[in-house]
Amino acid sequence: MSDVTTLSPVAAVALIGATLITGAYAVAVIDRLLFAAVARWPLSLPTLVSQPAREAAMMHRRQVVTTEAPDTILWVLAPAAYAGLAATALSVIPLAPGVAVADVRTGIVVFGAAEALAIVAIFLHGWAPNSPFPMIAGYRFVGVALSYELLSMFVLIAAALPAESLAIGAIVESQQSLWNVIRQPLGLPLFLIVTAGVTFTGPLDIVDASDIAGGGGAEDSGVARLAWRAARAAMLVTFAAAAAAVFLGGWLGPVLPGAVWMALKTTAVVVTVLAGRHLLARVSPERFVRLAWTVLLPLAFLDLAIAGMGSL
Amino acid sequence: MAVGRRTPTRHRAPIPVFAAAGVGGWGPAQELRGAPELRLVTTPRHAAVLLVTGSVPDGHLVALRRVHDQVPHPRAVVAWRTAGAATRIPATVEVAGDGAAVVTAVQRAWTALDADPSATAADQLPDVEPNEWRGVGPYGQGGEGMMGGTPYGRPMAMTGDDPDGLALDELHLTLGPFLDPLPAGLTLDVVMQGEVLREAEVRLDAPTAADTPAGSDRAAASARHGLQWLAHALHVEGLDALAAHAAALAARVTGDGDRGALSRRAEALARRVRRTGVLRTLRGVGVVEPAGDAAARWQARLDVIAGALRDDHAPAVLDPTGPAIACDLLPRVLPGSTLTDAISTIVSLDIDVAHREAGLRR
Repeated sequence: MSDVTTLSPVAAVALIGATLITGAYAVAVIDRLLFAAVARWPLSLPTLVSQPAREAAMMHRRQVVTTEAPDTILWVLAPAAYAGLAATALSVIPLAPGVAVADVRTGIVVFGAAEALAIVAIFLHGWAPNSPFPMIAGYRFVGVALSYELLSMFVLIAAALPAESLAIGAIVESQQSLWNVIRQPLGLPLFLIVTAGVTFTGPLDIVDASDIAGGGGAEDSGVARLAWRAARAAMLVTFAAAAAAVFLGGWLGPVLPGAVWMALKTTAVVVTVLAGRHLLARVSPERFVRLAWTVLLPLAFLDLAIAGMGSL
Repeated sequence: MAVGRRTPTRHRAPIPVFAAAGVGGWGPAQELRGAPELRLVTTPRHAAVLLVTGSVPDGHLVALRRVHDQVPHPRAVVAWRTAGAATRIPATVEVAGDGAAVVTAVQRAWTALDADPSATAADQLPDVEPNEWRGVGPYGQGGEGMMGGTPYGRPMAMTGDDPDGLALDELHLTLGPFLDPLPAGLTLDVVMQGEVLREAEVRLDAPTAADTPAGSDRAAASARHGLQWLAHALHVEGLDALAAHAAALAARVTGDGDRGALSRRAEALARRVRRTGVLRTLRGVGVVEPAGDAAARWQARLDVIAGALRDDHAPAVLDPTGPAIACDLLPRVLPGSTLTDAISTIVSLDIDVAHREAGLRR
């Protein structure tokens, strides 16, 4: 059982801010890299590394459009809330041995709460512009969200069983002998599906989908669009860090310092999720709900049973 | 940061372009997905340059003006092979060449805009509400329009019966004519309850001037059109990188050239498309007798594309259904399906009118 370790507020904000900003930029670079690789375009590393900065500069200079009678407060708050929830969830994840903003005893619960409130933020982003396609994207997402939230709950609790604690720092330390991805093989694949759902990436991109003409982001432009995309990338960083900590042993590893191992594992998860984005077709919401409740949820129960038997 | 003037073109971020495609311009516009200098976006709000291609029917000019005004400032307009002065929207640049010429023109327009943002294309429509609602009272209040009427010119969402026995709000929407996932010239009037379509009416407007694509080589033209369709369909299913690859391949299909190499690449692309699982997700979607479901249509089209590139004498028929028949079928097939499945169904039925005009379809 780990004690509550906390950083000073200034150090906490700096750590979370630095992690999310560099992480979000890295997500953008990796996304463009994978796109160019799958599209068989010539890869030019200097171009790809500088491209997110140039795109951000371009977006910054475009006009922020407004629709007819939007809910302006919510339109501004939604990306801020989404990014804030990503920061909250990241605060309970240890990024290096002994370095966590707040490695509380109920870290898994805080993480799950942030994940659940993200549903509200995403729905409000669709509600705010007062426009048909964003609204359809919002309520379509709410219809699907519960299905993957349940998966997340079970696989995280299964990972907490060997650690006998809900603190993520304790879960990392319980993997000294064996990583959770090996002793609970169903956990990581299911958690990757949850990641794809929360960040609406790839096969589960039902919010900003191209079949509803841009979906929730259809009426965003300029700084508003930049904020939403950055928040989404930040959430992906958080969930990748969680996957690395809970299933891939976090900062554990020989030779290299703990923070480097954490960064490498987080990057590996990000690459996997973004590769799925470019190589897997979108699943329709109806089909996914059916799949989640008939196949994935029983697999999550099985994962919990395996974890229980392993802890006997 | 003066990105436009000092940045070498190869390092510039891709220019976001919204293609408002009229008939005859839809296919060539899809080939632009393969150009790294541009990015075709799904909504005009994300774009900086509006690309108007093909012949836009007269009935769609108001819609085109609305799309034009939805592009945020600073904006530029590029007109590509529009029939005469049919668009009546002042264009920054007019292009008459092929895809490469369009890319250069868009870059030129963007550079000019970057240097001088005040040279943005002016709004076409006045920024006022299209329908004003006034009641009967002295302060504009009251009247009968609040329940079941048409406040602000739009039908109020009244509840309607659901097959499950519930009473849910019905949303009346008009999708199109320049909607990204729909083919050129198609307008859908739908009534939706939640995600499910209850009624659908289809309008497919023919252009005033038919733009027949040139090319005596039927097999090559058929393969090229098939690859253009594939690029768009992959984009709608969320696979933008593969769509870019298909578009680049389409641009390389000309009458001459090494057809063997292209055929092998097309087959490799078809294998990658199957590996994405898109055919599995489309199983059972959009069943149209006797053509089968959307997955069967995709499979047939992939086979025809590869076959047309392999063999000059292969039958170059892409879709026996034909756009006119497809539009008769849609009001029967779409109701009861979700919006996602409806869009997938429409995308899987190749409804590009220009291709029919060119006699490449039965």
